Amino acid sequence: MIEIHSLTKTFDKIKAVDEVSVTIKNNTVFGLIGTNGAGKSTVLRMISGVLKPDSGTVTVDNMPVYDNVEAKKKLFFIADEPYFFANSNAKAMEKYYSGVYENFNRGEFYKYLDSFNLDKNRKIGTFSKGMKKQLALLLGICAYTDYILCDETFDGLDPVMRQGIKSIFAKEMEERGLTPVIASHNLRELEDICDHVGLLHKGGVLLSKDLEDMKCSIQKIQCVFTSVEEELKALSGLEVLRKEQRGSLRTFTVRSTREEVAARFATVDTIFYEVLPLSLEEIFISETGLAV
Amino acid sequence: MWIIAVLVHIASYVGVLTVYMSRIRLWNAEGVYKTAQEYRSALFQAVQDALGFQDNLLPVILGLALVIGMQGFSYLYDRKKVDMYHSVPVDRNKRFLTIYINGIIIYLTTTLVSLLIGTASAAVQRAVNGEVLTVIGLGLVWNLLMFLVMYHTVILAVMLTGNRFITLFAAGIFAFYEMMLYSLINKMQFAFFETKDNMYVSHEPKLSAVSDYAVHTFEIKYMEDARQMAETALPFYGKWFVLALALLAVSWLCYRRRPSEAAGKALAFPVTGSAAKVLVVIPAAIGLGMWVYGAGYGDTMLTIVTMVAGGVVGSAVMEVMYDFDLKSLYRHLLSSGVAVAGIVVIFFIFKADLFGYDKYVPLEDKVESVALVLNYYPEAWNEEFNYISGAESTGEYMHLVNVKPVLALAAKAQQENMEDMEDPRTMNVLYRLKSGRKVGRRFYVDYGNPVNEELLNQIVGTKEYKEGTYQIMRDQHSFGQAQKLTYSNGATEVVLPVEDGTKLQEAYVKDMEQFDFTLARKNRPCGEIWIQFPNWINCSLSVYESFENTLAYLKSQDAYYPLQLNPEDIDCITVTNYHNELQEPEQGYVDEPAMAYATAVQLTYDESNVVSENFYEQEEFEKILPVIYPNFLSESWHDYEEVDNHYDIYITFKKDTAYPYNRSNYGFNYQFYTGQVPEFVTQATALDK
Repeated sequence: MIEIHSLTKTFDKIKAVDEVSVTIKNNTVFGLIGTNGAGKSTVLRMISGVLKPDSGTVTVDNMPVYDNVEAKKKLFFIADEPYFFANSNAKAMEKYYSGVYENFNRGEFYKYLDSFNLDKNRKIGTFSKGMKKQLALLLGICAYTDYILCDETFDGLDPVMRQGIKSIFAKEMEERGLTPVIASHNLRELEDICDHVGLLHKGGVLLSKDLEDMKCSIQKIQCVFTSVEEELKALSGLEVLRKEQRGSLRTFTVRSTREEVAARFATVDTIFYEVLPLSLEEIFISETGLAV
Repeated sequence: MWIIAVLVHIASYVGVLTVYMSRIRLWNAEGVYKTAQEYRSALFQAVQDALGFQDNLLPVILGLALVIGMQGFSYLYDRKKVDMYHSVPVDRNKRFLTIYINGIIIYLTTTLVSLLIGTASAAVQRAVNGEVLTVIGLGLVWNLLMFLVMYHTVILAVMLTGNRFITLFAAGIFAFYEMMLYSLINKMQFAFFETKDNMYVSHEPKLSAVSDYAVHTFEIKYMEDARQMAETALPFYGKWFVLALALLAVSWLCYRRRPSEAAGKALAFPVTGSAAKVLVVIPAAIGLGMWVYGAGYGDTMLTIVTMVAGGVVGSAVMEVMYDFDLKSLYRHLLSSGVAVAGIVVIFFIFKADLFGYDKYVPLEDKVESVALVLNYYPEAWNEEFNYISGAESTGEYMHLVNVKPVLALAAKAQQENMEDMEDPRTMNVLYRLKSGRKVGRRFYVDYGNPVNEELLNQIVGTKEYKEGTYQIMRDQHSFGQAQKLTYSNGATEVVLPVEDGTKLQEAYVKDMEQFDFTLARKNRPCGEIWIQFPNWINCSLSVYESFENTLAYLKSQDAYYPLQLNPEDIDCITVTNYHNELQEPEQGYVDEPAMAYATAVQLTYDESNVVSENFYEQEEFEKILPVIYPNFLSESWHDYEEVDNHYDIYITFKKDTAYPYNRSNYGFNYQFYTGQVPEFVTQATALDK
């Protein structure tokens, strides 16, 4: 389990991460979502022990991670722009990582390379951006660490590759309890993979919940009321996060359960009403108030 | 990295060795070496010079330290690399140690391989022996320690900065800062202090290994044997080792505290920015100002304006460098203000002599002893027959305990103006204080002032002065080893038996008991003894007519001849009148008051104003010879105006005289005594004759 408590990091007088507290449970896919500059990368770099927090703590399986080799053995960090040695190929990178991570699974690595059609002898410098990310992910997976931290790693992967990686994640989670932590601002990519989501905004955590819980606690309602009074009656006591109007058609995003909404609208005179499925993106926009 | 190091070392050692050895073989083919032994010695020396203490290796070592140090830790400049290296489960200390040792291995392996190739190649030519191998070993340690100091300096620079350009800048500052600082202090003291001593006490870097290396590699290279080299090098080995260790410790501490986010930024620790700015900008701006001071003929206003402008611009440039942003020109104005204020304060400390440098005269009871150099610059050498400077010899051997006359002259010099002196001469003094401190000063003494005569006699007449100044007065070792002894009065030269070296010394030392300022000032030497010692060391000793014991010895060897020449031996006297009164004086500007003696008027000679005339008649010779004095014997004790500098006299001797003239010259230069130029000479050399 990764526990983050009151984590703060400042760069040049700008607070990149402000009092963030999150718990990442084992064997879940944790999505760290947030706007650009929300502090996702900084949080991941602190979790991976690259950055030292100004204050607060990060522990991996109860071990502080900064400057702690034992804690780092449990982590593999894939930065947003992964680094590979100059003029190296996949083979050379495997050689390095298998020296660093004692459980590195070389056989599986080459097997995955083949299945992803990555040439082990080809210079990485000639790889596309997506191929480099695939290679970084395969190295991370085969390092056989308990946690793999991916910073915007899925950006730039084509759907087939993304699906392939997701399958590997699923397999590794099932087989050895891998816990992927994925930071991204591309919420659609995370929606179908994450079990748990931490929402970062302006350096702080707005919420951290299971995705399903999150979806259950925010509802999107489309309706047409018979009168303004009925509308006021329906909304009184509800926390409206977002409101849209097109002619007489109203769309509300409210913080409530589906059952509460149904009960409330059952007592109100409407021409039409429907509770719509909410995307992660919509939840994010609702929570951050960042409507475009 | 390996390839660079190998190529550089092969070129520096094997390449240089090849050049040196080829040169020796060429010289041997040309017959430069008379014996096989001489040739072999030259070969040994060439191998030592190339593979041992080579004095042009400094840039190679600095360059390699820079490249190896920066390349090894270059991952710290790049966020991508930092993200990878700092996230993997590798101990930070282990990583530091691995990179650090890798750098040393690169340097050491390539050095050893190059030395091995060089030594093997020299051995094939039978130019290696135990002594040569020892020198190569000593040189290896010398260069390795220098490399370590610089390597650690570069690592420290890397740890304190976040990009290559700033690292280069910082490494340069670290390596040369102390040298630059002391050079600036010396320059300012010379510029603004009239009594700045240029002989005994100069501000030399105390910690700078670069300065040590630059100065002492050359010195060690020319030492006689490996033992002497080792003795000289050993203290530096110790100093550099400690320095290297200290730099490594600081580098490691900085590494431990260096934040990963420093990658790509100018400074790893932003808190150091303002201090670094102040410390760099102040000397840089003052240096610029002092350059303008020299070029601008000592214009104070121009100098201070330049310094302040330099401070403002320098501070702005540093801020831009820190942020890589032109908009940062005026950031951190407080530290910029501190830098500018520091510049102004330091300038006025020197300009206005706020600490009374020029007013310094120690109290008599605070002075243990004094060493000094008057106008006569001592010729001195050590037991190994290597020249040592006058400052070094007087500093070691002269311990004047009656300091009162020296202090009196120093105090008097402060009250007097050099321009008003009749015959101003410089006096360099080293005050050895009872506190252990040594203070050097330089001031003017008027030799023409009768009041000073007694004070100077109390100095020059002492045993301590004579022993400190004249090696013959203290050296019990060299004179028995003289290789050639001659006596000359300017025209004659007689070779004396070398086995008489000690005998001559005894006679001369006895005669020197009477020597004092008055004797030297009021009497001109009647001849000079010249002695050659091993290792091409030689010295000259003035002989006065009152030196009975010396003259008695010389007469016993038929070496003494009167100063006045025999007209019958002369073939021709050529007198040249330069007509100095018509020549254009050229007053050179010197920005250093302490060096003001160098501002002596120089004349630009207009050849049309120079008149030469040959005299061949006996009557003319008889009138000229009593009023001339050989240039060869002129001493600096006398008033320069005692001889007439308008004229130059060249005497050509007959070839068939019995007189023991110095045949190698066939002619000699003389000068007229002032006011005694014969009328017919004046007329013959007049412009409008």
